[in-house]
Amino acid sequence: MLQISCPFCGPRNEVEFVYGGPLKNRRPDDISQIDDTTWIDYLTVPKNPLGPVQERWWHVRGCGCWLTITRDTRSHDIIESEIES
Amino acid sequence: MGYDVKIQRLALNAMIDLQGDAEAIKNWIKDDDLPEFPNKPNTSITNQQFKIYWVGIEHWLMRSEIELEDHLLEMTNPSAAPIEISVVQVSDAFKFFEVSGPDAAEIISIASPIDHHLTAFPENGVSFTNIFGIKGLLIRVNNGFEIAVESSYADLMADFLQKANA
Ligand SMILES: [Zn+2]
Repeated sequence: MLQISCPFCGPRNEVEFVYGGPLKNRRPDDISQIDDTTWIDYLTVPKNPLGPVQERWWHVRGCGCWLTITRDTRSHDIIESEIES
Repeated sequence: MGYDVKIQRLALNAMIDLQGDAEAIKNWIKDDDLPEFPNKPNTSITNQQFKIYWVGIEHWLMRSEIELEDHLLEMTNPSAAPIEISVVQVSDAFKFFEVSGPDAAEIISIASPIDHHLTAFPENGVSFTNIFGIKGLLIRVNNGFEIAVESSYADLMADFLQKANA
């Protein structure tokens, strides 16, 4: 169970949130100009590093904000949490 | 058996939901009868008649007794609100419960993972949280807590509260 610090609400239990998946790379500007491998990588190959990852969480049973957090996959420590604009 | 608490369903309240830019909302809703807007997240400011809850970055709730609903509507004028803000009458959308008495906090501990100690959830604390798995508004009051849930969950919430005290 994670404790996620919401910049508006403070530390809250994971059950108040919904996981929104890893923060993806920016969508390619012009997909007609990229090859299939790059496009498939963008769509379906999430990064899975040992260490800090950025992921999105929705504080749906709280203030309603979408957060981007930086979580260390080795320790589950949440290093950073910010509200998406 | 059970805790030393009183659990009761409260009468209908007048509620207005406000969303949008804080300055635009404060410019739209100016009335000497209203309290100030809270300046700390998840807190309320109350005067004799009205309460204002700050529950999200650009989200407030105004509340009064149902008898004052017309006055609340006059002050907030939902149908004429400018396009950049949202002002919606939501009185019927919420049902309120009160959990009061010496053991009120014990029931809240069963119901919700929120840290309801005074250091984290002050005298004027108000916040949406997870209450028996349902999104609900938790409000600290004099002798305990109030809980508001969407109306369709009211019977379920009543049942959960009774079972927590069984
Ligand atoms: Zn929050």
